[in-house]
Amino acid sequence: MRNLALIMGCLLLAMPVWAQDAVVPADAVTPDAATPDTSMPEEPPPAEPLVKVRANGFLDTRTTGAYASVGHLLPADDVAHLANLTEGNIQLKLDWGDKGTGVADASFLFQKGGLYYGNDGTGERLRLADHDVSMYRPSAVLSEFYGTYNFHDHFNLTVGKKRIVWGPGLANNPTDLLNPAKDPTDPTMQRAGSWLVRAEAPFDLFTLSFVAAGKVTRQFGGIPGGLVYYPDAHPATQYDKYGNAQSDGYDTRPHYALAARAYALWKETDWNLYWFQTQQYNDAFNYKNRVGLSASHVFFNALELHVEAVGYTGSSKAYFDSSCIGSVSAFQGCGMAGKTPGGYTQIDDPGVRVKALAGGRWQFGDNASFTFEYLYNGEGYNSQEFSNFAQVASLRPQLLSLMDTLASAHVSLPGNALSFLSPTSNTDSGAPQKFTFEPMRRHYAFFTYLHTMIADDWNVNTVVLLGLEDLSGQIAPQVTWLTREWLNLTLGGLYTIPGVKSLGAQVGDVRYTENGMQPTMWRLFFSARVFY
Amino acid sequence: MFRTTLLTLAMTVLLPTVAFADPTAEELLKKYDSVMGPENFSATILMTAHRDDGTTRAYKMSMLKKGDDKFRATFAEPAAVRGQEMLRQGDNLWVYMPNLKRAVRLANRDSFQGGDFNNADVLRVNYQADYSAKVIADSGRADAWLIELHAKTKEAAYDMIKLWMRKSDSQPVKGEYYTASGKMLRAAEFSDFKPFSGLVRPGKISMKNMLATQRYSTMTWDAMDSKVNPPSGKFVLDDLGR
Repeated sequence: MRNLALIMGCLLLAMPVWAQDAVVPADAVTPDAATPDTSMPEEPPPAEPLVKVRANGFLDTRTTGAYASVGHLLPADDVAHLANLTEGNIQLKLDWGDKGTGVADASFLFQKGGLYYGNDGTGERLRLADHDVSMYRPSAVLSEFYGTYNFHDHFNLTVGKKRIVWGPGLANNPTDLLNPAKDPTDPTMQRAGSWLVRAEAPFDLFTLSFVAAGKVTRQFGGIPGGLVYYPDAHPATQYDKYGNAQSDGYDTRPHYALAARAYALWKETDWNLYWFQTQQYNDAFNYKNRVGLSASHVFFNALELHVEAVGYTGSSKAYFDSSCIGSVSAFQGCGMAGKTPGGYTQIDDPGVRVKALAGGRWQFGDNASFTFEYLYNGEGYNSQEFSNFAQVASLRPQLLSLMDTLASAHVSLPGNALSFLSPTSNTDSGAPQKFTFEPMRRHYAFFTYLHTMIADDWNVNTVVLLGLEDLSGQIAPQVTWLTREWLNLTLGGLYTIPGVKSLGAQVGDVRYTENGMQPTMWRLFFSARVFY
Repeated sequence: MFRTTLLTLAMTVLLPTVAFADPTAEELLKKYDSVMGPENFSATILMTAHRDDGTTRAYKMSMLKKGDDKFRATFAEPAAVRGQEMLRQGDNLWVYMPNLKRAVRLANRDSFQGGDFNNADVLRVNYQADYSAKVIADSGRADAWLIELHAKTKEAAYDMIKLWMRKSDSQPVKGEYYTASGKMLRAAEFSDFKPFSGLVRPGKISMKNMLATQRYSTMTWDAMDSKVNPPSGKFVLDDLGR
């Protein structure tokens, strides 16, 4: 896996040897199908080149204004109230005969953020000096970079980085365990895949797929520096303020995902069965097996209904002992007494959890559609667990300070009690998104209205994400003017629905809803995208 | 001798009648399908949408068909939709969106890229399977047969179609497409007849949207080869986007 790019390069170079023209003349054409007419001269078609390269992409500049509250549970210090993101994207596709394909999709992102505000300690709003925030740094994103070779009509091999999504869900895919998470308010923003090898056997009515994916353990400027295993050397630039080398999650374990999928088109329905095994891939699970299924069918030539579910044992979430989280000293006391105040305590729990999404999309017949989806997150927090989480979130600054103090004294709490403060993350999070959906509770609804080609040149899109336990969420309206065939102008927004506070978690004398904890209250953006 | 003379006379009178008998509606439908949707073909097509304000939008695509019910269209222009694909297999239709990196299952009812053709006009040319037909008299046009088609499957794009086919060579020349209530939705004109790898067919279709009469779309066939045999692997869901 460490040499995936090299392998793919070799595969691409070797393609001319295998490449053949797969579109062959039929031995016989149905006599009725042709009406020869020799009286009308016909120019012979030009010969197809063996190698075809196509390039396209876009240049997009997006300016965002935002307002973040300094009184919410999570700090606003790193939220830029004015930001610009300019993305240059290039997509290359190389066809080698009809058997081989090479694809690259890369973006170069130039970002700048400013206008930061924080809490002055009395609850008042305080302008902060502009400072370095990692999410606003320039970066490169290699969304896809892979080669596929069809050895046979019914067998092909793909090597490289590719986004593979099998489930039919629009806003969320419970069975997508391989890729960086997408933004449910704008799924088109995330095109990044994972580094993998895929063997696939496609047939007319069914397909068998097997995927082995490696987690990017280190990445520099969009280029992976480690796959599956951490490189032995620590990155030279990452030291804590005491001069100790940062662990950056370093371990000696493998980080991978295996997936097998069987697809069938049966009774006009797309059916998928899945099996996954993940090892410290995009969550804290070790050698975790999961099974899933999905289906999609169109009814009445207008209504598409779909379901997508995955089941497994245990939970990869951090849970907290309510007797240990009243204060930092209570937390520290529990830790010193050998009692685990918080952590991945249910990771080996034998209880079965299910994540399932069910929904439908109604096509109105005038290029408009309405999609509704319900997500059940089986490992989401119940009310008490969510209250505990909110309580710990309120203590997070003090706990981080405690962790620093302990680290400087080279002391750690028993049982790695603060490990949840550095949760397992995806090193390669893909393209920057305006909203990242990490469901903490159990019940969610998504509504998407899309109307394209209004008066030929206008697209309207509105997405509503709603947590059903406290009715907090996000609403993201967007209007796009297709000014020219090569230029789109978009005005959009993201507004946080605060929800019903009485249904939220109690922390001290304040109640917090899930989305109400976030500092950002609204964003407004304008984007100009030029296609080439 | 008398019987032989009578037989000869009868054959002399009857044979021309048999040889030049009007084609049946089924024969005309079969001819339409063989011309407009040969069993297998690859084609390069330019669709131009002429809008209410007089401006146009052009879409260039390649199309592949295999058997009665497998279609795949891949858009090459404009750049904003490059790489978008549509696949039809039987009554199933998917669209692959490059910016989502995935395919989504669709109903047939949407218009094809916002033009005045709908998805079924382009991706479901199998009138024999979808419609029952009868030839009716058309006093206004002596050079063409008029056949009236009525939907016999729920997947058919229209409830009723009136189709005119030239008597000289049974090529389609005009079509009208109706709702069940008799409201005309679209009207098509077929023109620019020429051979494509031996198959003579219209090289251009103009489709007028009767609900917005200032707008219409044309489809022009730049190239078409009905002698190809595309691999079946090109018509499976997992091949989209490759």
